[in-house]
Amino acid sequence: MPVSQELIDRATELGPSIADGPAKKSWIIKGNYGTGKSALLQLLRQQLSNRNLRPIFLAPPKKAFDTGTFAALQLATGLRSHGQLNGEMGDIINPSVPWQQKVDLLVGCLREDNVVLCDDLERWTTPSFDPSFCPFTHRNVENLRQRLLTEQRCRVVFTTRPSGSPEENYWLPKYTGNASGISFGQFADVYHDLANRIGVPLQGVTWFEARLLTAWAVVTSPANVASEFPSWNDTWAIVGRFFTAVSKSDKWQGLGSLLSRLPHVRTAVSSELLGILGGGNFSEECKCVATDLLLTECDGQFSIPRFLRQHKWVKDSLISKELTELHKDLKNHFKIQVNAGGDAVELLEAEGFYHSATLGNQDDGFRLFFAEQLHALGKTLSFEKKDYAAAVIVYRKSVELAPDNDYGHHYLGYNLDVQAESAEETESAYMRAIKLNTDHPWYWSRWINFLITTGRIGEARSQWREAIAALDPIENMGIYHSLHLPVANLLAQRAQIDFAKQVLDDVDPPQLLKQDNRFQSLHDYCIALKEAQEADAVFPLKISPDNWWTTHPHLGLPTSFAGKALIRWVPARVDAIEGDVACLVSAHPPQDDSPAEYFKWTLSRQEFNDASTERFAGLTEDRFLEVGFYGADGLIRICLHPDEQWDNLTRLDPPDPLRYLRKAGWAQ
Amino acid sequence: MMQPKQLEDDRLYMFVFGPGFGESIAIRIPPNDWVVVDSCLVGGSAAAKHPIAQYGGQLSCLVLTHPHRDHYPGFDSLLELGQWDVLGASDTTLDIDYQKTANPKKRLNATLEQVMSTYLQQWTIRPQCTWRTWRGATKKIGVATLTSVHPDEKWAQANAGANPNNLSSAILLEWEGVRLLLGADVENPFWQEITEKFDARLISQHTAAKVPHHGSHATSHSQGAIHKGWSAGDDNRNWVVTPYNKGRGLPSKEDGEGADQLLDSVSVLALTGLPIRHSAQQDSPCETTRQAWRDGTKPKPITIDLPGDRVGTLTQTHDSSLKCYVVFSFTADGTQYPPHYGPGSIQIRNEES
Ligand SMILES: [Zn+2]
Repeated sequence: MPVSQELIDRATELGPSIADGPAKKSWIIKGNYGTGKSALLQLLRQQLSNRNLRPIFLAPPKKAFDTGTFAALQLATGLRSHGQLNGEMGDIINPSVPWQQKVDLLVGCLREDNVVLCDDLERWTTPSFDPSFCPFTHRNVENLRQRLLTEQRCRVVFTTRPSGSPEENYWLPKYTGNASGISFGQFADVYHDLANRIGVPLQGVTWFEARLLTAWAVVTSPANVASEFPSWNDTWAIVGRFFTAVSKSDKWQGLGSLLSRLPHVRTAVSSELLGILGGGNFSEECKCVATDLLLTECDGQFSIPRFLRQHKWVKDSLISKELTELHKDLKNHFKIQVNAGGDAVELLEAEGFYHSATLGNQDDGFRLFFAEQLHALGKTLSFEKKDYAAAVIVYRKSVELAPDNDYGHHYLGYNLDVQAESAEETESAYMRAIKLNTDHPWYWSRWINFLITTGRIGEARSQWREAIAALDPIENMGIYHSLHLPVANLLAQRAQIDFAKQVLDDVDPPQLLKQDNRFQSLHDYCIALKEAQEADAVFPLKISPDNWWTTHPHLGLPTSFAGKALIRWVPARVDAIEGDVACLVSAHPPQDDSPAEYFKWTLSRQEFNDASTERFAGLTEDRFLEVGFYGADGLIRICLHPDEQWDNLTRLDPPDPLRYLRKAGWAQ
Repeated sequence: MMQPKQLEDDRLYMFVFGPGFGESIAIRIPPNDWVVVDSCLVGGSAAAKHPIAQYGGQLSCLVLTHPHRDHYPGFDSLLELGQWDVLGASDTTLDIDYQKTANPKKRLNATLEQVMSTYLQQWTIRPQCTWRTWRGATKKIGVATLTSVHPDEKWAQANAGANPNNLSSAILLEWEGVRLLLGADVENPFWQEITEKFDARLISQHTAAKVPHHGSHATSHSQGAIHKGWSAGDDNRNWVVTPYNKGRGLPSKEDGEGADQLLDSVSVLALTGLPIRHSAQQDSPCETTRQAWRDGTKPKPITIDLPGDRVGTLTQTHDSSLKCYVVFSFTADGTQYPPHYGPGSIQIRNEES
């Protein structure tokens, strides 16, 4: 979309103040999403160039495996374009050169007249409340970010959402209804029509929202949008309605195609690629709505704003086959681009590598520049393709290139572990990952579960204690789900009940056990198995121990039979069938402090058949039933629990706890 | 007499636990080697842990005779006690029939996965601890020798789906002048084969025996475990039977069956316990006759009344006391000392006829 006059004014005002300001200073541009931060940053680039400064624009893909790769390559290609990187590019793109060395090199090349413009800096890494979940790359990015901000070798301008930070900053207010400054391209009339219907001013909407509403009005009609205004409560909702309107209409099919595909490209794209992504139905009109109202443009390259990129509709709109086709198309497109060369060919190659890696391809001819790029490939091979052996090779390479790479070590261990391959290498990989990053609950839970799975329960206990000491659930409740849950789950499934209970007892507050179904199931399971171990079992697993001893039976025993009232009922399990006799185990409810009392008794074939609608002949060992007694002379009725399986525990990951035994031929 | 206060240095002790579900044998070979065969839970934990914890000693040899659910409860915690010099087992394949059952009792079978995982790991990293207890395989523990008398490796491998009892490892332990027959759950017709393969006198002329397969007798669907190959001999041999509580239970107390047949060969039969609660739970020993036991006069089962003249028999549950065991001890020359009878165990003779 064309840039609004108001933003141009802002850039004109801010540019000189940065240029005339001290050379070692940071500026923060704050504003909510949709207020034009990225566009302003782009405008500043031009402004600062005009004032003989050397701006470098960094906008790496967010929270990706290769965020660090792109940040570093953008910095490198930016420096090179200013003639500041002479021959060192070879080291930057050499995957064997450690990250730290590359950063030293890049930061060392910065001069006082550089201005590093960082778009949406805070989202380069994962949220700070959960640093433990940062993969390796996020530590790389964080490291680069810190160096840029703290070493103050040059001016740094970055955009972020508003916060209470007192540093010098530049606020972007919300759009105040002064439409004159915004450009709607060829759709100004539609905007005015809409604004008239709604009643100007469009109070409280952002630049992005004003344009999005206009696009929606183009796709439907100003009357339609006006009739729904303001029944949405946030930007996501408007985006959702807009997407729905687009997908319902044949006319805008090409626009839908573009908007579902473009988010998968992480770099700014050419007009030509827009056409490719729009497909066969990408009309001139579709293209105008996209470029005039929806996408941001800089130097003839287009980017998709966050709200359109990250909406749920985008995730749901392509089936996996279409997604695969898309990545293939993109891989081929970038291959051609790379071959054509250019100023920032390394960025194109890294993007090509990403699409190739997402496909699980290992030999599409894109060069590897950074070890972290391998993680997208490893993940596809492991999680999508289930080709764990191939993933092992990738992660082995990743840790060889970057030995301090905890993520690579962990997933090397994981992919070996899934295959029950080389317990020794698995062990050292898991341990190395923890040594490099003790704060990651998954690293601990998978390591502890490896020990349990391979029968090293004593070590599992001591590692559990170490994990608890290393991790602080108060700071991150997610630890209960990532550490306690998988460990307790495997222990329960391995009938290590006391240890499982110890793990569950560490969950604080204990209400979590009741509130979260997965914890609740495990907790119930442990109680049922403990009772079975110390006494016996008279209820099937589907009945929660909380409900064992209700006053009423659980099955459909009538309250009276043959004119006689139900005076008592007992649960039972068929312990054995011996000829014409069923040997039962039953129990009386717990009394005060004493536990349930279990007893054995028998029923003959005749008694059973008289008391039940089912036949004795069909009765098997371990069936659960309930027996009701009617009147003082002991007339009985019997109801059986269905003969069914119970499988209510969370799936394990790695999924098969028997894998090592199967591999040895000790289990089928 | 309950548990010995301390163990005499020069005696071999044989602790046999059997609470009604499962059995475990813990043998202390002088001076301080422990050999443990199978596991069951007594007093809330693995039975064999009690004597090992009380008297101390070396974790020398641990054997799982067969992967049957009455032989491994608590076995995982025995493995966790420390590093055993020898880990014995013949059949290491798991029958995984419990993964989706709604019966929590059967889900406990998953402990076997833990046991087998530890075996696999230990046998891999410490091959010297491996003892595949196929017939004829021996292990030296101090000056004692353990010899597996069953199952035959070739037969077992050709009959992987056979009744697990018949894949179980019966073991002969020889120490100086003492010979112990640990019969596991081996049933007939295999005792005939065993006496043919080994010197028959070795099998029958034992000092003490853990009677095979809970003293089962021949019925319409089982050949039982009683066989003259091991049963014929002196009537002063020390025999202990562990009961099995499923259905009507083992050993049978009826005339001409189980216990009665065993008492044809020995004058006293020790039973580690009864699967039910009974009146003589605290007597030690509860001396009785098979007939009194059969008739329910001594010990008397503790029953509860259900409506309509129905009667249930209380089982032993939620009991954390150490019970249901018998302890034999011998010096090197074969001298027997008075056995120790734990709470719940009974000592049975036949009435003078
Ligand atoms: Zn048995």
